[in-house]
Amino acid sequence: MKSTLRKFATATMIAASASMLAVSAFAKGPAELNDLEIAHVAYTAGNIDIRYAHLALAKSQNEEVRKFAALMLQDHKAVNDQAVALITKLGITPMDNDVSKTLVKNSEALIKEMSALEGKAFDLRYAGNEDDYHKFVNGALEGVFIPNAKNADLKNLLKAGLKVFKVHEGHAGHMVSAIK
Amino acid sequence: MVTRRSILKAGLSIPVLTMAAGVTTAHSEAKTHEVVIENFEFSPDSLDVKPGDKVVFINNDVVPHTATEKDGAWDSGDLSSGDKWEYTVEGTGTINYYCVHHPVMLGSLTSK
Repeated sequence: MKSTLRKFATATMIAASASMLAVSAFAKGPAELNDLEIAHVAYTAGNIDIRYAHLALAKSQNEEVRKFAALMLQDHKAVNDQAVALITKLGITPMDNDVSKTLVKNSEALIKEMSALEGKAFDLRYAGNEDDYHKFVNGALEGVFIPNAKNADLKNLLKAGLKVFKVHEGHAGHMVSAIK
Repeated sequence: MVTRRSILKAGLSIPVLTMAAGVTTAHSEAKTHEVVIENFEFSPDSLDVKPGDKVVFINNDVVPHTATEKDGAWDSGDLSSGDKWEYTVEGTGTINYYCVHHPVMLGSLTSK
């Protein structure tokens, strides 16, 4: 079962974006994370999209892009606030891990890359990444993290997050089409 | 002691009370309806109402939503998770509303 989940996670991530994560670099794969590590990854993933949104609001003049970025700021903050409330309630401390570290490392490279782009080139890169990123996160949540989470409250929060991020995924797809 | 202020206060209170009584009479059969916002949907997404009825919007999602009349006649503003907002139905006809943050979320009230 564990091996199946791991294969699924790997396939999902590769399908979403080959460059999103260097899967082979993980000492501990997504399917092997415990609840504290899953919580850390989920929170980190939200924060990364908030950083992308701040960059988009600073650089883009495109109305679709700005509207989407503002929504990402609002929704990811709301989900992360719920995560903080849950962490406080449970009295736990999320654990940093290789998946979180890789997500952060890759996001920093992407922010550097996007910062050098202007106008439509930036809008296309931001929109395309949002589409890929939400597909990736949703695939990981649905295929690995939600099935693997042991704590019922964490599982429910991840499920609530998935509903939010699926709406974002659909919205991101429309944004990509609108920009092209 | 009867002062100018107390006379004014009494004078003002009479029409206010009359108005309040009138409102009570007019809305004596008014109902309160609930629209729950959950999973990025208004539930129920269509509702039959009457003028004077109250519609309470309750956000059960983790992200903020709004209930906003399509032409902006009324707007709940941001409803965070767990927030409620009440709208009192005015007039008759179909009232369409949506969430400004997630425009795919649509709902309607039919006032008869």
